[in-house]
Amino acid sequence: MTRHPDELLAAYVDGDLDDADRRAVQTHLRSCERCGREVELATHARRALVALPDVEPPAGTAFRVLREARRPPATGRAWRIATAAGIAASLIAGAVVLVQRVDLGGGAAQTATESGGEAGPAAPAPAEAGAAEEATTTRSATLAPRYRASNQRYAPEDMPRVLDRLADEANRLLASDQAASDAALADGTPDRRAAAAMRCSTSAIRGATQIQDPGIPFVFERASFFNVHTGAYVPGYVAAYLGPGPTGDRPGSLFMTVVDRQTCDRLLYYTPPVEL
Amino acid sequence: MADPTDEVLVERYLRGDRSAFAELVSRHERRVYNLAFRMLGRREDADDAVQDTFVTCLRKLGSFRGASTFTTWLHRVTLNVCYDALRKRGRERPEEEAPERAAPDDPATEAVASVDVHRALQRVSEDFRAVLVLHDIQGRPYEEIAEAIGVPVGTVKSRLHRARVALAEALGVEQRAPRAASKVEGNE
Repeated sequence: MTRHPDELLAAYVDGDLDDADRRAVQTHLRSCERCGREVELATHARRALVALPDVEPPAGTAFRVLREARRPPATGRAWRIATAAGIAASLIAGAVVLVQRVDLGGGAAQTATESGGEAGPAAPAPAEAGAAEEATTTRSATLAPRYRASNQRYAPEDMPRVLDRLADEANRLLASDQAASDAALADGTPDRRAAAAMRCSTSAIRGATQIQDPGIPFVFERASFFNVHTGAYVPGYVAAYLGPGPTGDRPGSLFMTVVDRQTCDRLLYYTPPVEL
Repeated sequence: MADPTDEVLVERYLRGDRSAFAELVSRHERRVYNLAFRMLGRREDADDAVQDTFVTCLRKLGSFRGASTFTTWLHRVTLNVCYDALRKRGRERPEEEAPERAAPDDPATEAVASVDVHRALQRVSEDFRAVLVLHDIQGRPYEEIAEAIGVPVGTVKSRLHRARVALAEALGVEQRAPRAASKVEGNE
């Protein structure tokens, strides 16, 4: 027995010691005034604490917490889904312009996004003229955590290469552990967020189009989706999918969707027609 | 049908079921509020702390993945929120009041007004306060407390003993005859 068995004294006051320890403590207490005094004080304190009544929490905590948590983050990196005209810095614009240049067999691809973003299918904007022409485009450099806009120019013959690279990235993300994807819904590295968003978008896409296999999905980023009707920002994911082409050997269709980050509800869905 | 466990509710929330988190809050808000109130001393501070605790939990739910039980994790978050609040409050201490003297006659029936206990709690150190609330008020086991505050179990036990002594002194308990060990309840 150590000189003053502080560790044992707490349990002694609780009445929690086994016989051997209890006897040892009692032996010590018989000859130690300090510990005897302390045990008495401790007993008194414990009794007083045990008798303390619970206090009632205020009402409405859950509601306030959920409301607080749904606010857009103060440091919001909020990208608005832009019109084709104002696309310089917008990521989704990268997808838009990519879609414009997707030319998997000839003919112009039509494309558009909804400005602001309303729920429901988006109407295609008038097609850009001249599918064979080069155009200024922005692109997402990789599916890495940082997305950069660039003024890279792409010729139509570049596009298959770009699509292949995007498809590889998407496959890599798809191979992520499912549990990690689940965890990523709330937090996690950007790659894992992307994987989680993909799943979210997958279910939304399936619901919208009855596509059993939406093909090779890939994801751009989180975004705040601005609802022009309510004037509210909703945290969401912007996702784009490459769907299978008619022969099934390469991507031939593109689906875009914006989903609510919390509920995975589809907020915006668009599939630009591609002529082959 | 058995109620879902906390961990099941966490999973459901991570899959998009917002009501699962509301259920978690309902389940635990009383415990969190009482811990915060006893740590911080004031209801309005406890109100803020409860908000902060659950919002923090909501944001970090993805990274809580069964490394401990949900309750232990929740206690840890609550304590950290409280320590932050106490730090921000600074060195200001609640007014010192002369605590009521405990009735000197029969230790088995003396009653100490709960407001005095609450005030005395605010006078002991935060570390002492935490173990007193978690163990003696909320009845958490040593292992869980140790995990929540990040110290070994032995430390929790010795700290609890010293904390009780400190609280009794803050309550102004008069010393009685030192050889009172045989009268301590529960040890006959």
